[in-house]
Amino acid sequence: MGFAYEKPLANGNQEALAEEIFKQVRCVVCSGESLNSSEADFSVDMRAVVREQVSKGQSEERVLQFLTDRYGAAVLQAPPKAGASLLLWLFPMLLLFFGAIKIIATIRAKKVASSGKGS
Amino acid sequence: MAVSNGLGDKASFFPTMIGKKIPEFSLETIAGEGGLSSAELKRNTIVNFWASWCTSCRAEHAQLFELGKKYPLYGINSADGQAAALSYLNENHNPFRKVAFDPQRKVAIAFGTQGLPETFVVAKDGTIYYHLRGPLTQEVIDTQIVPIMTELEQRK
Repeated sequence: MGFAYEKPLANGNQEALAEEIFKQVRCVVCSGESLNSSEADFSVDMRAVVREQVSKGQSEERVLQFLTDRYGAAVLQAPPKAGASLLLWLFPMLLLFFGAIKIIATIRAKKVASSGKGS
Repeated sequence: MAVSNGLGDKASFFPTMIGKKIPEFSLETIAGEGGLSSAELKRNTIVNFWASWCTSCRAEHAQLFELGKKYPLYGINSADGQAAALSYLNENHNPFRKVAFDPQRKVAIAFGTQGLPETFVVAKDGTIYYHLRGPLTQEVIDTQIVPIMTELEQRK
């Protein structure tokens, strides 16, 4: 991925890891593109930084930490599934769950009411 | 590429490096003044990232001169050609004590910059006390940088 003059890492496994990381990171100078698909000059340089770290043996977690330390959690494509961000993921599910319960309860209450009147 | 001032995602625009330490680095300078390392910046300094093609950088040149007269001001020329950078400094004069050459944005990214210009205030222990994304304004200098530098200089 990237420009023709961008050099992928010689080690295929490391290049694959780098690409995995690119996909999880937002392009910081674009609107909504990932670091993997951005053709921006800045992104070329950011990919080079990621590749350099991966080639030095840094784990995916460490590289993502490096970037979030500098750009905030907003640099990740998806909010982290940890801590307060867990609420972001849970909240809609909880809403759906309780919403469903409410609907079922309401339907049942109406059935009871209408069957009561009908008899 | 202009700084993303006013454009795009505000959250990513937030200056995230305040309170953090500057990265360790060592760069060449563009005018043969020896190198510039992070150690040299750990002396209550102001660090400014710029490039010759950056129009917002031109807009803050007067403010840079003002800062450069009062405080140790270092420039890091980012994502630029050496010849273009030197030519810019000749044309507009050089407010920097030293200008480091960072053509592939390695140090710029290590500092958490996402555009140009960006300015940092660095204390003796390497902590970033101020980080501005976008051009310096008189207001920023008067209300932020001068008070911070004054306080830092009063500490031993």
